[in-house]
Amino acid sequence: MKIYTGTGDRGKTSLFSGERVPKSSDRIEAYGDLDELNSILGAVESLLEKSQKEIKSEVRHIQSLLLEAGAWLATTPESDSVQFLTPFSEKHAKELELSIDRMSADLPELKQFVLPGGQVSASFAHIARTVCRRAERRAIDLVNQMDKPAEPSDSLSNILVFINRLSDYLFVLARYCNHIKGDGDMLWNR
Amino acid sequence: MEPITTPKTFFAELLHRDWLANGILELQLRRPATLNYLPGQFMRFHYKDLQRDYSLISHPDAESMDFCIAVVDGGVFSNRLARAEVGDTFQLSGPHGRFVYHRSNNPAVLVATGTGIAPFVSFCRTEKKTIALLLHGVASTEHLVFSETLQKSVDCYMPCVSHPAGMEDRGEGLYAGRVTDYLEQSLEKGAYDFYLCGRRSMIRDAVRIIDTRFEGSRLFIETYD
Repeated sequence: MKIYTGTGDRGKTSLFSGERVPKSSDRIEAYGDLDELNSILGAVESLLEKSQKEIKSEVRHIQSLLLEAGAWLATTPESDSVQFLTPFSEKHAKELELSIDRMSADLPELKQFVLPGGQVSASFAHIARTVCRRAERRAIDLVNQMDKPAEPSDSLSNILVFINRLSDYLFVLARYCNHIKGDGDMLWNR
Repeated sequence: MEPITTPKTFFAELLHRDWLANGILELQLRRPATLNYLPGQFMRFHYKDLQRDYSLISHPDAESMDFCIAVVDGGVFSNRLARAEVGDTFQLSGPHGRFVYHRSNNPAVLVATGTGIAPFVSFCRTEKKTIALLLHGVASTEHLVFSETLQKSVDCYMPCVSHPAGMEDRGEGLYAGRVTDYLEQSLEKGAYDFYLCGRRSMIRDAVRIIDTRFEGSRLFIETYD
């Protein structure tokens, strides 16, 4: 399968729901941020030790979920096309919470700000965290632009919670990556 | 309708094989009872180290999975299918693809070239009388497969015959020219839902015309090369 069609050469692209929009539109920016986040998670996964099988698998699962979330952001919520999307469950954010709690149990209590850095894997987890925060801001903007008084669907609401929880997960993952290497946190000493 | 489902891998038996036109084959394979798909989706055929994607042309509730396949000169895969006998089994995976029919208030315009008509046969077997126009681009009228089914199911069925030699038996309801000529010169301006299936060159040209002439339209694309 060839990946280029030449249909986007004049600065427009099609949403999943078919609308032709500028590539700089808010919706494209939003799912573009999820794509960027997903790519950085690929780097995080590849930098984790082979022995960290469980976390590697968890990160790959998160990558798949981000593709599903991206499909929701690529679809006009009022369109009939949402029927073709996989519902995004609230359980995904709950799973992140369980993982956060599990990793946190092995970490020392945090009493100071930490500097983003340390191990390469931890540094990439911090980059992912900041991109995740941007993705969250863009997604919130999109939901706020929805026609009033329409409420976001359960799936969109669940995606916002998931992205919010994911940045917490990535913060803890960054600390965990430093911790398992014996380096601990890089503390902000001022 | 339902969310697009996760693909499965399975073996399916060939039930029937027929030549629709010179170089165009119809295959019917036994559909697994648990397989659900949407009109416009495709199945992936696996043979040795090769795999090829073919759109389903059947109604999703039909007992068989039907395909319309262009047999390519020297093509290992399509010629294997052309030689297949009833009872042969094939490994398939699917359903794949997101080229499905999205309902809206815009008139739907389907544009295909060659065997790019395949997903639209499935659309027409399912979405009766909600399609305003179907353009089928072929080099010669002998390649106008499924014309009866299509004609019955859409408001306007317009075969577009691009090769002058293919127009010898020209009758009413044929357009002499490419599908892109029709879009540029004959389709009234307005907002439509365009579905394009065919070679990238047609799709690239059609999208340029749609972006220029049909502002506010929606666009769904499936390429097959």
